[in-house]
Amino acid sequence: MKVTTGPVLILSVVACLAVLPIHETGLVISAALTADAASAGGAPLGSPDFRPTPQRPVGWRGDWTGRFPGATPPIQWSRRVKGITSEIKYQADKPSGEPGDDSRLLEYFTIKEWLVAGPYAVEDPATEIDKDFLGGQTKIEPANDAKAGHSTWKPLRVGIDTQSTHYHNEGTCGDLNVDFVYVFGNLPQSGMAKAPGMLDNKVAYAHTYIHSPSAGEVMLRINYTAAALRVFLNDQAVTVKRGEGVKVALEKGWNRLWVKVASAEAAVPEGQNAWVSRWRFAAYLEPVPPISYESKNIAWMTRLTGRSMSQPIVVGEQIYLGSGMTDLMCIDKKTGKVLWLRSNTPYDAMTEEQRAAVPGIKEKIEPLVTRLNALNEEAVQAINAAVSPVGLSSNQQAELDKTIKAKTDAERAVHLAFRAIDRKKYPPMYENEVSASNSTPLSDGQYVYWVCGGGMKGPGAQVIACFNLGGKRVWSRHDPSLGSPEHGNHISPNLVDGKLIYAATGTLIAFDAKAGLELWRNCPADWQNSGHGSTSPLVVKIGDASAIIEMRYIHRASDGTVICPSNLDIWGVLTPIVENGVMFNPCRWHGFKDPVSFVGVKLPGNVDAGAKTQTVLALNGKEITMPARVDGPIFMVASPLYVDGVVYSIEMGGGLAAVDTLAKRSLYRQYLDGYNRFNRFLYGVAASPTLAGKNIYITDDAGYTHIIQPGPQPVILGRNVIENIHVSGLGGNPCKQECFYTSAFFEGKCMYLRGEEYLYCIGQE
Amino acid sequence: MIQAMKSLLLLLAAGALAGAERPVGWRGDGSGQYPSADPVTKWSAKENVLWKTEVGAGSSSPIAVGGRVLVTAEPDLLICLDAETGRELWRKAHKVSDFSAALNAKTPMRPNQYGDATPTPLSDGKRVWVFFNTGIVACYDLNGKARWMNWYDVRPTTNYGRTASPVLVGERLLVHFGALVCLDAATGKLLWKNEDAKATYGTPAPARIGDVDVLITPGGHAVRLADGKTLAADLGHCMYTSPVVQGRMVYFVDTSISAVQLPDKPGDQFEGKELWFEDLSGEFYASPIVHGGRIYAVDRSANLHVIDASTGKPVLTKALELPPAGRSESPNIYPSLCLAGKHLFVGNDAGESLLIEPGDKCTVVGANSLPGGSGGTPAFSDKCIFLRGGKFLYCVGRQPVPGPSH
Repeated sequence: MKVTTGPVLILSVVACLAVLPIHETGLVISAALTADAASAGGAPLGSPDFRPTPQRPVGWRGDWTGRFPGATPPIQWSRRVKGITSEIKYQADKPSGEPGDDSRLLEYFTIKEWLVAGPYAVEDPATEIDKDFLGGQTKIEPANDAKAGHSTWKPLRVGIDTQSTHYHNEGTCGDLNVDFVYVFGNLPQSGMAKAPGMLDNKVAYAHTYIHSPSAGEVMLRINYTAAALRVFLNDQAVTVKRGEGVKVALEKGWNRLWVKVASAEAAVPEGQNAWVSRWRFAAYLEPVPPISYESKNIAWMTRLTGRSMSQPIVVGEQIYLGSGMTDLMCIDKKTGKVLWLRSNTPYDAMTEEQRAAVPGIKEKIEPLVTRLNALNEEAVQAINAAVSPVGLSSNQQAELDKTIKAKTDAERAVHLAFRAIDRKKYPPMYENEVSASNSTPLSDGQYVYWVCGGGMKGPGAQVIACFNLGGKRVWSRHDPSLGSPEHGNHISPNLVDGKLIYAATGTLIAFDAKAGLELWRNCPADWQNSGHGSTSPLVVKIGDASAIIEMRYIHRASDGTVICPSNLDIWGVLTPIVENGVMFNPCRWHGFKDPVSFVGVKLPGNVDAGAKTQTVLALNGKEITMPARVDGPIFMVASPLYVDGVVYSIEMGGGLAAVDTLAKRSLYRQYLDGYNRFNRFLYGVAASPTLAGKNIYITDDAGYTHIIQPGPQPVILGRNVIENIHVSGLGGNPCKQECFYTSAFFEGKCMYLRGEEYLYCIGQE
Repeated sequence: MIQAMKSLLLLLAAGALAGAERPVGWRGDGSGQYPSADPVTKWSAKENVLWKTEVGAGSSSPIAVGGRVLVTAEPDLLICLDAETGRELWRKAHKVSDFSAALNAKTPMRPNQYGDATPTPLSDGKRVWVFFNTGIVACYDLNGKARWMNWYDVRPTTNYGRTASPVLVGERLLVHFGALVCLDAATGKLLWKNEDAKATYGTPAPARIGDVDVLITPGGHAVRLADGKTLAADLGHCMYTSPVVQGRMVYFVDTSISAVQLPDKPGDQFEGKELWFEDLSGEFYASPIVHGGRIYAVDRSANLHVIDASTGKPVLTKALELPPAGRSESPNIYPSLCLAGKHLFVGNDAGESLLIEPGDKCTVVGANSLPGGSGGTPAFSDKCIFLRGGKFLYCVGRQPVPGPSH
């Protein structure tokens, strides 16, 4: 395996090999890089012996590649609700006995296997929904291919590729729908600008068999968009309300759930969409509160102080990650206990001298800061008391939520008090999309650097800070000048040649890492460079000089000068990868009507302004990337992963594509199984794929992690579920399942995975 | 007889705006208020639809002028309908490929996923101007004869395309391409460009300070129209909505809400006097109405906020029942609020709308829906409402009661 073991690519060899074909260049450079890592005496990232240095820091995606070749984490783990929902099995076809190979366990409470029948024409769906089209619908026990009135029962396994989609991130509204427009609409793979006709005023049935090992109660949730709907469990009508669960009793053994759905206008224009299905439903069997859990191969789980997309990093025995509004947390990697927590309000970021210059700070700010610090301590104690392999029951969690909310409210009060003093000097830090603490910390083994804040949709301030590993603040800066792009900042810092590099709102900035003094900033006058505020700066070596890739441009690290455009044409919010002197972007933009494509661009030969890149690999999107289910491009949040010449990329709906950059061809394109991807306001897969040991780990927004063996076929080695229902109602999943937007950090036998609420240490208990 | 009454009604409706002294564009004169309108309060696909015409999808507003209704539609169309019958009179396409300068531009203009025809056309009663995300601006007379058409090489500043509608002050046509650009309305000649006053998604609002015309941008700049000079910055900030100007007051509604008083004399630079500033929960795409000392704003999820315009303090917050049964998604209040006659109009992008009595109680007095919807704001005239519904433009008005046949 050709592995780059550090974030800085040694390209001096590349410069004199510019004419070599891509695969030859790869071989030479890989050898050089491996030699470099070995000569530095460094263990591979992921090894328990790895220690970051200024030359090999850890940060976003570990070392910015997403590869942890020295790790040996588990491939199986779980956290599930204790009780009936983890024991229920279900299947579409009529069972002949006890559950067998055709039956499957509920994952995230979602029923995916159905028999469907229809469509049946009606004149008025509201009044004719109760009409019997089966000749005895109150006692149906359908089987595959059995008669269903004038129709027949057909199997439907619900997935992202079995439902109609629409623009705005191809949303299907957060549910895994039984979408009758898809079922009966004969939809093409793409080109769905025109609504399928002949589906208005129709009725259809969906039926599934549910096996419960004992009699018990569950919450049945039916989310639907339709003109009328009826639900029957064991031939008893169940009254459901959209978006709410209703308690139902399951009998021991097989139960029958069937849903009858009527369309009026089955597909109608909506928003920017030519049409959206209004003949669909999704079904869930959720646990009845209070809820407790059981887990396997989870060593500990630690409650965090709030939502964030910040990835954890491991430095020695400690884990660092951002959390909540502006918290940097340090956690003991063995026990999961919080060692320290530092909030980063404007007050925290100031020197004594700066504080003295703020009018009224003693009366208006300091009492609030004192309160915040006290509540931070309380929160840490409460969090540490709750650390365990299985986590808290819903009742216990509700208590802990109160403590954390009090701490969060106290921090908000500090920010508001600053704003009341001067809202232009102290614009919002915390109103960021998802969180103001999304940045992943960075460590050179001696210090931890971090950035937080950002505000939202215009005004916004950031704090850039440096701590020693024990949590002592070395320096910090409060910067109100950067503001925030439309969707907030989600950018992680980098380190090169003693400079801390950060980007926000299209501006690339370098600080002296030791003292925090700003060295330079460069804001190319190009709105497209700011993108969505999500592409993190990458550091590369060009000859003997360092350079930084940020969105559309390559900058010289010494002074920030733009060397040249990257020519990557990134669509989505991914950060490209650089391997062997070539930048890869699996989501190259070609317009809103065309599919994206795959591109490899060789870095320029020097760092002089005006140096040129060279496109060395350009593969047509139609055969290379996941097909879009509406005309136009797919959208990619996750950054790609390079393993043995193959680039793996996953678009936001869970479509995994593998491209062999040496053979210049697609290896495969496949949707991964999942939960409710494509929510309009929830990225289905945002976490970047990672390599741990020899396997690829991909986590979706519900925490469902696929483990895939690299190679020409997608061999799935494991599928793992972490169920955690938000008591406080965070997140966008239908069952309030905790969201996961962040790829994991791996070290030794452990995988450190963060959700919105918890940091999970996945490894032997 | 019925047809005659219908014609009279429609002519009155269109005529109410036809000879307008003030330009007619997005939200009428920009305020969203139509005090002389008297629209119906009930409509549906089967009730009080005087006509519907397929114009294609779009998020712009129609305008009624000179017996015509003009509307843009995706991807690049300006369509003119007869206001009485809905019959199409003419349509014009605006293709980037017709402009060699656009094809050779350093950064080629890309069509937008969310639409290229979101800006609303603008008319002075004789001419109509139209602006597309692609960078094309065109001017026609009401018969569709082209006066001028240009593509302008100005970079956008918004991720999801250009959505601000053009504004006319005298013979100056203000277009928020990204930079704020002033064109000669008669010729399209570029008079000045202000790079500091970057566009967000809302439409800038004209104001007058003393005897000086300025434009207040959603990003909080005050730009002098005579020469494009920035007189003030950071007055407030809106990402999606438009500032509302009433006399010397400017109101900004976004994640916060603020009221800024403009000076009585501008000078070469001024600082707005911020009278109040308050937090506001929710995400606001619809521009507010300021009326009777109250600010009415509705967030994306259909929560109505009534705010005291003199203090910024909330008077009422209530969740509106939008939509009714049928959908599971957020209602998406994209169309801006309007005050037509006695009622506030609040609509979503699915064609559902509420009529509300303004005041501190905000009683809902009507709920209506049309099949399909749009993010576009409707236009009101005397007794008619021009509404987008999916690919159709509807004219909603009181249908005459059938009388005895003669």
